[in-house]
Amino acid sequence: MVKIIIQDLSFRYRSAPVLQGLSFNVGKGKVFGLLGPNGSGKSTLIKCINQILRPQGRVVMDGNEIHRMHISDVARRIGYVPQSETMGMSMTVYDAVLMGRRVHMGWRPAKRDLGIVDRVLHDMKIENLAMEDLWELSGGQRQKVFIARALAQEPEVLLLDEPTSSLDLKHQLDTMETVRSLVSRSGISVVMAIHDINLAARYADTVAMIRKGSIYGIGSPRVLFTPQTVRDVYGVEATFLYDTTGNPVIVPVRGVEEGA
Amino acid sequence: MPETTTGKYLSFVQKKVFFLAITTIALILVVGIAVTIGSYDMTITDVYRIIAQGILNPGETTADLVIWNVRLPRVCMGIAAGAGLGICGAVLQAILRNPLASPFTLGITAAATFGASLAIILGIGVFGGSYIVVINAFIFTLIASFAIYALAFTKKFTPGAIIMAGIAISYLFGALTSFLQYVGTADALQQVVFWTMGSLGRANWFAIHIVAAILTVTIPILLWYSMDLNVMGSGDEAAKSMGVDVGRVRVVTLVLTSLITAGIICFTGTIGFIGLVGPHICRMLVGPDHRFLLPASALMGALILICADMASRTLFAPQVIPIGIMTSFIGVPFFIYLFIKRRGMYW
Repeated sequence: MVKIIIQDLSFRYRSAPVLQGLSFNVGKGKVFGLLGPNGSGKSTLIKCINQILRPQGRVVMDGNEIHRMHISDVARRIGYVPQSETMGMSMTVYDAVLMGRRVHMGWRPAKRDLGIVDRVLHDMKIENLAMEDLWELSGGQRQKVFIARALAQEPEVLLLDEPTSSLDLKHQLDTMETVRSLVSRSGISVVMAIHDINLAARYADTVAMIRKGSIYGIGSPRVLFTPQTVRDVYGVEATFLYDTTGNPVIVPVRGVEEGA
Repeated sequence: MPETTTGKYLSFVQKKVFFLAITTIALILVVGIAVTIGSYDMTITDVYRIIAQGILNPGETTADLVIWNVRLPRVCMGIAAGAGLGICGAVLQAILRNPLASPFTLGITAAATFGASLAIILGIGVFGGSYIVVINAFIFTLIASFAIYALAFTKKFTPGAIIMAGIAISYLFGALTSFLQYVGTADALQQVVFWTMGSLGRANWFAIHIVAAILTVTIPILLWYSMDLNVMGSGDEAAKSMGVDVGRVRVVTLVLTSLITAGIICFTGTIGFIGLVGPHICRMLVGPDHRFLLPASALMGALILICADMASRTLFAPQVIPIGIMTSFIGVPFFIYLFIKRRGMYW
């Protein structure tokens, strides 16, 4: 079942086009991975989906065109976890997660709002950090807080921009397991820009490989990831191994000259 | 346990409400003390009794006249100016995501000084009469504000663009004021310098009504935006993703804070540090939630300004030190304390 349809989406910053004519569908209750080298437009695409940026083309969610919806209505349906957040004012984890309820609550949080904050803190296993200062947490803990904040919006779709980029190996796996279990438990759809091709192979249902602002290929990681596609998209020669479940484990060997 | 988490949060909230209540009581006490200060002796109970009676039925005794015509206007202007500048500082620090932001960061006080100087040195005013300085300061503050909006508009109202525009406008009006001072007489220059140091001594009930009217309209709107200000602390992109129309909030709050600042400084002259230090002290005490931080900053601003005014009137009595100097004397030690206490790279 399709949750989001992206049709002929293009975006340009003042000087240069970043995304050109992208079209694909995101399934309900699925994890959709966006892969590509630096500057390929993954993060820009994520921001085009929830109106942070205004692209050309259409983004349709359950039959409603996102760019005709009010910014609050979009926030009620789509949560977003940015790649990084500049350090801001000192605040508790609870206050940070409560901000996710802003779009649902008035000036004062209702009992239901507080209940939802409790639930997502519990789901993300960070309730013991509730009264800690957000900016004194480790990168991995903070990432969980930002995901919890997005979940407090009660979204149907979660957008993750490089959710594992600043995490160590353990926290990378931890974050991806959390995402996977969220999808299977609550049925939300996830679109994530991700650098790590092996994490994408393991945790995404579908991946789109983006090269120079256009889609190179879309499909299941097992089918799409081949030595040739990795070479074409990343300019890297790679060795493919396979784990016990049949997922590819990609070991980059050397860079190749463009056009070689 | 989930219940414990909410319990802890609600207990935090109770502490914040308690702080607001304590600060309000402290303000009422300080107002009473401030009104007793002067050559005509009276007790604090006399002060409260005469104020309470005077609200319904003003008396004609000397004490009544001293309180209602001389001392209370000064203290009321202190409350209004301190509260207004305090809340403006908290709002500007939030929307510009800059701990050094205050009503003076945007350079609009430089415009107010130019307007006042134009009236004092050259006698040129938008309107003449006894309020020529006040009206000039007000009008030029608004002119500077709109110039800043126009410049920042070209860069989509990003915090950096607003600050840069403020700096440019500040230097422009600073240069214009310097030029006026260059051609002005020694007597006029002294008046300009006195104006820039700030004073509550020019307060009267007309001025208080004007400032109170501005605050009555603007503060509820700013409080309404509290939650949006909280969210904007996470950055523009994150705030948009949480449903905040970042551009609109920034424009509306900038217009309101400009109006408050203009309304206050045109009557008092430049009063620094209240809008910078008041919110910082409150942030340390009640945290960054603007639903509590804004009222706390207003109360703290009023408290600091009235204390500074008391100090300015009593330290070298009968000489009155300009309040702009006194707020800096009180503000700088606080600022240094905060600077040393500041943990890590954040605020």
